Amino acid sequence: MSFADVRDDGAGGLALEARRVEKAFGEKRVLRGFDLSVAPGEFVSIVGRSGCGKSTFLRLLTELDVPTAGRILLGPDGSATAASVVRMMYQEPRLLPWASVLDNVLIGLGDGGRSAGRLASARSALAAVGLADREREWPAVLSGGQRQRVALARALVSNPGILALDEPLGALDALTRIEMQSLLESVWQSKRFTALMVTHDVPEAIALGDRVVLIEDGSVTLDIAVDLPRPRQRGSQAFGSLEARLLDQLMRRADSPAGVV
Amino acid sequence: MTTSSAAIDLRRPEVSAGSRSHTKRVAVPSLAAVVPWLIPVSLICIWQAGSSLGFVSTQFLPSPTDVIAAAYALTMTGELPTHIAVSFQRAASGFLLGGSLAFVFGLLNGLSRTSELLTDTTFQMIRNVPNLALIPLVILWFGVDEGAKLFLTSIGVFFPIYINTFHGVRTVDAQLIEMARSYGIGRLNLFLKVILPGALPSIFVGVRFALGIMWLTLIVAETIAAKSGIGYMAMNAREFMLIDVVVLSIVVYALFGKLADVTARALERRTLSWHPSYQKV
Ligand SMILES: Nc1ncnc2c1ncn2[C@@H]1O[C@H](COP(=O)(O)OP(=O)(O)O)[C@@H](O)[C@H]1O
Ligand SMILES: [Mg+2]
Repeated sequence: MSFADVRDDGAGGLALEARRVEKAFGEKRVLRGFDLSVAPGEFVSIVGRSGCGKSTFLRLLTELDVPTAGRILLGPDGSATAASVVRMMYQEPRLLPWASVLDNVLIGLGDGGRSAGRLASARSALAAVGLADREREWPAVLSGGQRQRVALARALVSNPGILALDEPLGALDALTRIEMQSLLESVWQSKRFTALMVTHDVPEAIALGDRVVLIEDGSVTLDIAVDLPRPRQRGSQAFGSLEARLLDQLMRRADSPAGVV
Repeated sequence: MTTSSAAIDLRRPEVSAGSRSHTKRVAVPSLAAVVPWLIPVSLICIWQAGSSLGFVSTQFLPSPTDVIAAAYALTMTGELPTHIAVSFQRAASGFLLGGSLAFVFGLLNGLSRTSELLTDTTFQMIRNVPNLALIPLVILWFGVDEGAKLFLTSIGVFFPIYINTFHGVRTVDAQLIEMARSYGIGRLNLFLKVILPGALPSIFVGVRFALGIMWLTLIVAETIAAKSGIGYMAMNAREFMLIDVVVLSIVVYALFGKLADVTARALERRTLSWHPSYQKV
């Protein structure tokens, strides 16, 4: 199960391709003809109005749910399983309150004891998120941002090829959020996993994504490459015009009368 | 190198802070340790004064010193230690039997819908019968044997632990379970690392309730159907109008109850040290 033993540190990201994915809950068609292809190591930000199917797509990607039709192919030959290559981070850290910070990170390696190798992996993952000295603490004593960093360490300890993030910073205050964005960026730059991040914050999507993808009516309606040098300057003119363009597209849907869905 | 020295540096202040506060507590008992005893101690003083000054007839209520004298005399004859040992053994065996069955069924029914369907309705029906209502039947079945007391205390202990274990397992955060599954955590570890610790606070609530019911059931059972134990000692003393021994029995029960509660709390504090409400600031 634990692929940390198989994939070396920094093995990099895996490609992902969603082909004509459909997902319906009863009568309700949430995803329709959803196509998306992501290159290895790419960072894709996903935006879209609430209820447009972003979380649904990530759940299909992590195989927590199955598509009604279509396929999601993982890895170079499309044969990798989500359980072995995809890790997920949520808006809530979902830490075990009764396990120490270190034991929470160990969960990320799946079943198994506290062997020296596993402990070393967990410690280095904690060090990567700047919490090396907090390994023996209970999650309850950490701040919201620190808890989310533990969750990030847990997601990354097994060096996944793909990291799916569902509004990972949505619950944090503005300042912590900006700190976490640069942490996320630097961790991604050093490990080079493929990242898919759902966010409702357009500047955040632009600051982190190589591409920003807009989902509307269950499929991708806009796919923009962000060609700005990192770390990105939010005040810059190029940043601003991208932001305006995305917001404009989002707002247009908001202004149009209901019944678009 | 750097990490190990950092780890030691981290540990040191903890140790010294801990030992400092410990010595302080021994030397000068803190206010919080004294306050809970103010009312009991004052009541005993008033009681003693009332008896000594003749406001309260010792036929009606023996003075605290009379009770202490009775305790001393009965300890010398060996009666008190024997009765205490018998009651304690009954309480412990009833608690262990009823408690472990309750724990097992609580877990089973919490984890498996089939098991719940099969047994929960039955348990809920039995639960609605006050266990003391079973005394006449139990006497017919077991006479004044140990079986009678074991049966009654086990049943009394069973329901609070069963219900709270069941509830605890069912209310474990579903998001944590989904998280653990998504990391490939297998069934055994899911149970040991997520479900059981998550259910523990609720299980402890059940244990504390069960301890109260355990003493209540035992007292009643011993006064009605027993030839030994604290309850029997009290009943026997009543027949001979030994009011000091009657009061002594009540005091012993009170001390036992307090002891059980203190033990449960200590256990709780140890196992739930992760819980925000148990964390030292
Ligand atoms: N398990 C489910 N059963 C029924 N409907 C669902 C289920 N999961 C999601 N939906 C519906 O699918 C739509 C998309 O949900 P979701 O993907 O969570 O949206 P978001 O883009 O805000 O993350 C919503 O209308 C939601 O009500
Ligand atoms: Mg969502």
